[in-house]
Formats: sequence, C-alpha cells, structure tokens
Amino acid sequence: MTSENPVKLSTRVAYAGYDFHRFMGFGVFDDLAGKVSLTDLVAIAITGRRLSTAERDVLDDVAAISTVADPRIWLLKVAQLVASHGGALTGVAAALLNMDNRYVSGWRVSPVVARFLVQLRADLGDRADDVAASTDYFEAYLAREPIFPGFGIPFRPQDERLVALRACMHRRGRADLPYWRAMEQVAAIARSSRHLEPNILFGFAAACLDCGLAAEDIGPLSVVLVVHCFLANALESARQAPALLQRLPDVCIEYFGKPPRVSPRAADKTGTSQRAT
Amino acid sequence: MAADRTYSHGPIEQEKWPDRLGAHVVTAEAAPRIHGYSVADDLARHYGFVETALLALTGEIPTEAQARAANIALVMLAPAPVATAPVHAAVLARLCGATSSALLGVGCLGLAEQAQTLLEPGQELVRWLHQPQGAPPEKYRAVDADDAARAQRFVELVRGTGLQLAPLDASSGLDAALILVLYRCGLKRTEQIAALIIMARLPCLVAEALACKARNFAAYPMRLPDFEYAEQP
Repeated sequence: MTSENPVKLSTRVAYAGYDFHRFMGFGVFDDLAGKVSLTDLVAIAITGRRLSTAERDVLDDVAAISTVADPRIWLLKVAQLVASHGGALTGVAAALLNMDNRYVSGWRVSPVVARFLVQLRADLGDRADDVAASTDYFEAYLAREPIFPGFGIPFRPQDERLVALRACMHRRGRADLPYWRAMEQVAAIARSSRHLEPNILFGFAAACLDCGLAAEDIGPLSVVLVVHCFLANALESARQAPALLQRLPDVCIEYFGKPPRVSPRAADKTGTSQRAT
Repeated sequence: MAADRTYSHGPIEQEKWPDRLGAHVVTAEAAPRIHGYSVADDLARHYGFVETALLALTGEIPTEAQARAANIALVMLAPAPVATAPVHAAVLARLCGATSSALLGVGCLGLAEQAQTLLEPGQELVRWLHQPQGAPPEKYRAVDADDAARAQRFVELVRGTGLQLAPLDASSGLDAALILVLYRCGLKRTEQIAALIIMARLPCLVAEALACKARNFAAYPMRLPDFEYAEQP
C-alpha cells in the first residue's frame, strides 16, 4: 500500500500541532487557556461558539441545580453498580450510556421539549404571549401526541429543581426572555387544564433556547451538566467496592420465573416426567 | 469526633417500595436454574451453549432444528473484521493498554451499536419478519449479486437443519437471511437478536485486539483514515 490514504475525512473538531493546538476554531493556548471555564469548553464542544458570561452563568446554574445525586435514584445507581468492582471510569461510562433513554434523562427529552417551544413561537408569532392561542396550541399538540415530554414529577408535587431554576432566572433578569415566558405560559395552562406539572427539563430547554442554543444542542448539554453526579457515585463505589452491590444477598431476590422442571433430554435419559423432583 | 449528619425525610423515604428485586430467568440459589432447568444437573449435561443461550433469551429450550440453525447463523456472524469500527476501536483500546474490562467494554459497545444499526427497529422489518414473503425492506436487500448468492448458500445450509423457512426473495441479502433465521429460532425482539450477534462477533474482536501489541504506537496507521481539520472563516 502506498503512503496515500484511500479516504480523507474532514473535521472541524481539532488539530494537534507542535507548539499549538486548535479546537473548534479556537487556539487552545491563545484563545482558551486562562480565558474560559470548563462550562465554556463544554459549550464550545457542543455549539462551536463561546457563550457570553450571562449565558455561561445560566448553564452553571442548571448544573448546580441538577445536582441530585442520591445513589438510590435509578440513573445514579447504575454508576454505583457498575463501578462496584473497582472501575470508576467504567461506572461513569455505563451511567452516561444509560442517559440514552426515552423516559428519565435529558438526552432525548430535552430536544423534544425545545423543539416544541421553538415551534410554538414560530407558529404563533405575535400571538405567542396570548393565553388563548397558547392553550389551543397546547391542546392541539396533546391531541396529536400521547405523551408530552417535560412534564411529570415522580413522588413529589412539584419539581424543586424547576422552582430553584425559576428563582435563578428571576435573579438574573432572564424571566422575561421569550422562551422562558413561553415555558411558563404553557406550564400554567397544563397545570390548570390537565393538572400536569412541568419538570426541570422543560425549564432547562427554555433557559438554553434563550441562550441562543439550538434544540439539538440541548440534549448533549443536559448530559454533560450532570456528569459530576455520576462521577461522585462511581468514585465512591469503586473505592468502597461494596460486596452488597456486587451481589445482593439471595434473600433480597424474589423469583417470579418458571418453576423447577426437567428438560426433554434429561427426561429421556432418566424416564422422569417433566416435573422436577 | 462528631457523628455524621444523616437525612431521612425525603420523597424516597416517604414512598412504599418493594423490598426485593424481581428475578425472572435465573434463580437466586447456590445451584442456579435457568427458566426452571437445573444448570449443573440438566443443561450442562444435555445441552450446548447455543441451546442454553436460546433458552435464556426465549424461555424455552429450542428444537434441534432451531439450535442447529442458530449455530450456523452464529458461525456466519462470527467474522468481525478489523476494518469494522467495533474491532478497530478494540484494537485501539489494546494499543493504549486498556484494562481487560475497558477493552471488552469498548468492543461490546461498538458491537452493540453495530447490531442496532443492522437491526434498526422499525415496523417494516417486524412486519417482514412476521410474513417474509417477497422482498425484505430496502435496507435488507442484497447489495450485489455476491451478497444474494451468499444469502442463498446460507439458506441452503439452514434448510439442511430442517428449520422451516419461508422462501426468501432472491433479492434478499445475507443480513436479511441471518436475521430471519434468528427470528425463526424464537428471537422475536431486536434486543434478543442483537445479543446473539454480539456473542457471535465478540471472540474474533477480542482475538484481533489481543493480536495488537500494547504501546506499539509506531506500528499503528495513524492516518487511516486521515482527518483534515478545517475552520470556518
């Protein structure tokens, strides 16, 4: 084979030089080092652009508010279980992978919610702040779609994270921005007409859209902003390597499967019936 | 030294939860059973691994025809070339000196993604699997005459097992034939079929990765493929 490669791909991610590195259009040493935060780097990785200070503060608020890391919660327990044999990184990887689900993570839900808000504002235009128009729009959406993502809070009456995010948005003067307003209006409609309560993903999507993020960027962002929760759980489990997590005691398991039985080949050999002794 | 501060009044404490985890396949005892069959006294004595895998996945011991057909399908699925992303990634993991679990994790993850892409859950595929008369969905048609011929050779091998297969359309590719055979072996869900595909390919993947010498970075073709970095002005 010659030194010519058969295929060359184009990348916008990065280039590694001798005394310089480029990342998403930025010089690593010239533009980024000493000038940006971890949140900025994450935003650059996802969106390709630097956030304003105000926008970065919103993401930091969301990350702090989303720090619900109780290891009993399904997503977090995955990190503890997989790391329980000592591999913290494996635990984090497993938990991250499990974020690709339809019900309890922002990876898939946040973009759907964001697209709803974007479409609502695009379709209603000047009437986006009109309660009657938004109500009709919301009801029409529910007639088409059996599930409205971004609503529903397990085991408690309201999402305390959304309450906290709302306080942050007011404190930062962002509660009057268009997507946050639209989110609050739809939330009020859902609450009064359907007794549905919005969860953090609805508020998160609105806050991100008001930062100028695209709907498809919000899913990845929602995952990165909770990585610290997985990390804490995986590190703890890897350090403790608890036998209780590696294998639950037999008394903790209830078997609902098939009763004892004998296979056809074993029955042929021994002449026993299909019932195990 | 002050005692740790604890908390016990959150929503998780307020709800009523089951106190045991449900098991539906393997019993929790020193001598386990799979779907009711003793592993040590029955399955290990009378059945092979593929039959046990099909039992685990479907809940029932496969017929001899199903077991033989599944064996053939697994052998056909076994080649995992280094050119494919899962094996290439596993080779890189080995090159970097990844731990055994990391290497296997990288490889299995890649194989799972590859299998998911192959199976791409969709009503069209499910409908065709239920009633495979005529051409399979576009994605599963033979890419060329060689693919169609490979599919037919595989179908002929499977016919020798006695497994009843509805005639595949001549336009079917090998992938379609393999998926259909696994479906006829009782694997009705894409996750079940994917599990067998991953099992089939994992040994070749691991072997290929282990053939690579860890840290031998100079021997790895770093520019295959090459990436050209470009920035928007």
